[in-house]
Amino acid sequence: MPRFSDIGDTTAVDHRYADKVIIYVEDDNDARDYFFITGEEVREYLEFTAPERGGSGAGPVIERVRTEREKNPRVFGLLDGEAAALFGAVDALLQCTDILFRLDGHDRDGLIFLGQHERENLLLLYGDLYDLIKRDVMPGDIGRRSTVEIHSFIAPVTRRFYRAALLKYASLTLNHAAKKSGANAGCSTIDSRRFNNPNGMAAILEQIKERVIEEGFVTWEELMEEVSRTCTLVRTRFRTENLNAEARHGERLRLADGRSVLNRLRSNYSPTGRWEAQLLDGVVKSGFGESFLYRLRELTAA
Amino acid sequence: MSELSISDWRMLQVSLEDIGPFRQGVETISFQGQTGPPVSDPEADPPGPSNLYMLIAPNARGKTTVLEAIFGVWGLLARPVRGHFTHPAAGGKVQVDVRATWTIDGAVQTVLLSIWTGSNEPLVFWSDDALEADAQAGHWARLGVGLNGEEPYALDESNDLGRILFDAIRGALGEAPTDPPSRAQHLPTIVYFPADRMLVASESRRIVEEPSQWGYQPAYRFDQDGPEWNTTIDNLLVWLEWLQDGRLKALLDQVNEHLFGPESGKVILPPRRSELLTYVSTPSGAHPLGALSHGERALLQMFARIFSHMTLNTVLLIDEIELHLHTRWMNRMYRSFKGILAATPALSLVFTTHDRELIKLFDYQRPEKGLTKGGFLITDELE
Repeated sequence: MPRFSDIGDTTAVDHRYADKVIIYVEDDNDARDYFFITGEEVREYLEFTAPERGGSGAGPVIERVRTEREKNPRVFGLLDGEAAALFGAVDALLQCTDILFRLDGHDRDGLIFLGQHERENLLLLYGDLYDLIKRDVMPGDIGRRSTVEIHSFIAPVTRRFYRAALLKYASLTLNHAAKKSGANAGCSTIDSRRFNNPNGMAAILEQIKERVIEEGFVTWEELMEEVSRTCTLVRTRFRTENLNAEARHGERLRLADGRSVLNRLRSNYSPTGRWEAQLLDGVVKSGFGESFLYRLRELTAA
Repeated sequence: MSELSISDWRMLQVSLEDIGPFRQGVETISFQGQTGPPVSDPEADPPGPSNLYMLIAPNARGKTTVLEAIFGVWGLLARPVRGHFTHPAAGGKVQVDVRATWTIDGAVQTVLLSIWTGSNEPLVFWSDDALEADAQAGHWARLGVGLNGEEPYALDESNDLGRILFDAIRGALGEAPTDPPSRAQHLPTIVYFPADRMLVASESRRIVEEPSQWGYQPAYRFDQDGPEWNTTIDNLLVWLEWLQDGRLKALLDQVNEHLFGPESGKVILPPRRSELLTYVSTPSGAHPLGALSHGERALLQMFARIFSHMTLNTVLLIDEIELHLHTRWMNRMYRSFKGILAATPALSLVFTTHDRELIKLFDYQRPEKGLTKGGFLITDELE
């Protein structure tokens, strides 16, 4: 029977009282969308919530889970798959075939990772994207967008932001390795959204190279070596699992910077389109929500 | 009989055994304050007993049992005796520990008072070291209360200090509230609003009649406003109007301030003697008290009873504080209680709630002037 001060701060007290599985997510939009995907009725036994303080992203989630979980084992964190790289475990994401995954280790206790780069990848993969693009047209253009044509646009965009994501993973991995060995920093995070720039890949890479050299924490060669390693890992999977072109595209779409892909597609097809809601609806209709919730309940005993 | 005067009264803890869900030995809930960030320095002064305390638990885990037990042990000193421990088949043991500053025959003492029932001996013993370190008290006053029919008596394990309090309370029973009771009566009291409190339209019979639970009691339970006339707030106001001793104005000033505030333009007027009816003046005209909204009546019931019956040394117990109240009204009430507590030194409030918004609003770590906050979550686990 604990006093409030034995439990933690006011939020921890509230969560302990609620007697539900509490799942911290990276921001309020994540919470909103996960509730939508899993269905409002889950509120009876489960809550998605963003940390009240510390901003958005993985860091505040990791901190809150660490703070609360000691006194409340029903508190978890659901992080974007890319956050695995923060723990030097990007390979778990690259090789993941599950909806969600966990990492071993004391400092990862209670953390659950999305089997995709981030939430937007769910929309792209399960939201019936092609159908939306075909239907989101003026009346005179109905039936004019074909699957092949759409795919011919999506594929290179996906490749671009897949490579961007690998670069980001590499920077996070090197940074983690450096910190683990005692250094203050290993490599600043390379934001994959830099590739939103209309410049060609070569020009953007050149800018990043200049910055890495200027920073001096790691060499460009070290960074490229890590990118190459992860790229090989994924390609090896393609080969060993004998994935066809469509499956390979799906894997790249799973690992790509999903938000950037989504933004690029929308700016091409429907700059004013309210795609998130429609894609979310598509995710629910696809049955993914049920699988997602089933796996989440398995991992959290909700 | 010794002269006893009490100047400070802080509930420190309650211990329970074999009552409600508390069946695994003696379990103690501390009312020590927990305001402020967690203190890692063991030498730092603790915040002291709280005056605003939140008790939460899932249903059926014992929140109400705790409040009923506190009310029940003090209710044994009331006339007629009241509460859980008056029932022939009532089981269970409870001990309430209070730190008090009192004066007996001119000598000031800070004492730790243990009042208990259900066993011959106290449930929790205080060593000299614990008295000084945990209660900052120099003496241990022990008052065990037993019941012989309808008459309470001090158990053998009580000591002289406990018996002095027993005699003082029993000697003052039924004393009419004076001007106003919150400044005149120093003996302690519990004012309890249970979760089954009702607001029912009053019967039509209106007479000038002394309200139920009018004189001093060490434990009041206000579980209904109506339908019997002598349980209504209308009756309370009519009675005060009839006494014509100035207390009605004092009460209405306080109630209007906390119920409506100056910005609403609403105010409860003194009862009309010709009708024995109280009206509320509003910007759109006057209406009888009974036409207030359900939430307003719930708040009126609490504020009117508290300001009428609290003494200088009072513990308020409110079960499910949000009952009958819309969120806006609940926030208003909570704000009012904070103001009342901050302005009233020996008044404390222990409340339960199921409202998670209130847990956040309470924010037990946030320091607020005049408030020492604490809270407790009743769980199944023994930790």
